[in-house]
Amino acid sequence: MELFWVGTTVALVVIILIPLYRVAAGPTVFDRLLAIGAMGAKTIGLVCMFGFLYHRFDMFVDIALAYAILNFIGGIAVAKYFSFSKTLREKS
Amino acid sequence: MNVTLLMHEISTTDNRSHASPPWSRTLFQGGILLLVWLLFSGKFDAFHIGTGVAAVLFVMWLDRRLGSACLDDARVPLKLRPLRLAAYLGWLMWQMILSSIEVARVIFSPERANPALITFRSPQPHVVAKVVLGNSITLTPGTLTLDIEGDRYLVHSLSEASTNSLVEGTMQRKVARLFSEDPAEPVREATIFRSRFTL
Amino acid sequence: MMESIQNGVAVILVVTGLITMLIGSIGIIRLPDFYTRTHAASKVDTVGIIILLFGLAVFEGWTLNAGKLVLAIVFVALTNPVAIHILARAALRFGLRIWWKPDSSHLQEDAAKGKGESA
Repeated sequence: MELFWVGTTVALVVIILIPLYRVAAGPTVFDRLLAIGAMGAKTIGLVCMFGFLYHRFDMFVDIALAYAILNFIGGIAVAKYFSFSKTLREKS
Repeated sequence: MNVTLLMHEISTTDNRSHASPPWSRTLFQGGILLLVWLLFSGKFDAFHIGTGVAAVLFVMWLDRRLGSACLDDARVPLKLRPLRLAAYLGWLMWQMILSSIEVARVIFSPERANPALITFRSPQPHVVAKVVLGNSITLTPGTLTLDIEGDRYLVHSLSEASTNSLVEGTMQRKVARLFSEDPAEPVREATIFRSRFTL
Repeated sequence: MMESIQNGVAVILVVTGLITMLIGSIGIIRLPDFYTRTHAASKVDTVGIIILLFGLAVFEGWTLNAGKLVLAIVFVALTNPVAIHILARAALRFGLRIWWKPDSSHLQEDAAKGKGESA
């Protein structure tokens, strides 16, 4: 079972790294934000898996919940910021 | 009618003497919050429960101040039907699985993608109903809520099939039935835009 | 016996969730424009995370941690679509172009327009 958790955690890290291509290459700023949001959402699962790896699941699940809240609030704040930015419209 | 609504709003925002929510609702809210606290702390001695009660009271005080500021009709009594809600949640989960299968099919064969913009009106009785409908549209096959203004919805849909299923209005009817006994026409004035020349 | 069934179900759920999230990640790379990519991020990813966390909860069994995981599932299912909706609305108000399916009739119209302008 230990080996299974190691394998799935590595697989999840690879899955999280895939959208990084969109962050680097995305044509608009919204593509980058979307990819970052998707990576952050998957990180919730990753933090839980770390809990199994380190046998401290009770601690890591709290971290995962706090991370979920921060991801949500951060995403909304950045989206609000860009919805009011008019100067960027002329640049892109 | 509009004037009376406006007067009502002014009077409630001005002197902050809005009607306090009924006791049953306050108790229910406090109980839910305390349950969440116990779940998170996992310790059941006097000190931790006492801290929890203090925190719950503080949060409820904050919520009393916030509730009248954020949602216009948050004080309209919300009647929920638990049985229908459970049935709806089950149906929604099934729709979510279907939707991810459909989007996966589009991902692996991009020629399936045929985006369209849909606008429609769907009168919902309560702000919470609007939120539920918008979230459900986002979670079901190939459709994503872009904007809501009043009772007008702007939806982006990914493929042909999802466009048709949204215009039929099964979901709008289900959501409206969650909140009121016999809802008015759930979908009106549905329009589909499918090229850059029509927008 | 009970233990092994529980573990087997958990393993199946975790692997299913990982595959779903992999499809979502590929979708974010492959789909043609921002609005179609939001579909991949909002639906496929949300379902993948829910299945993964549910698998972890099954592995934990009836403990307090499983309750916390269920709470995390509810939170993700509520907030992930909302966050992506707000991002898509910001893009719409910003004026980001929507990708339409290339259609032969539109191409002809384009060609006619191009001729008219050049002539």
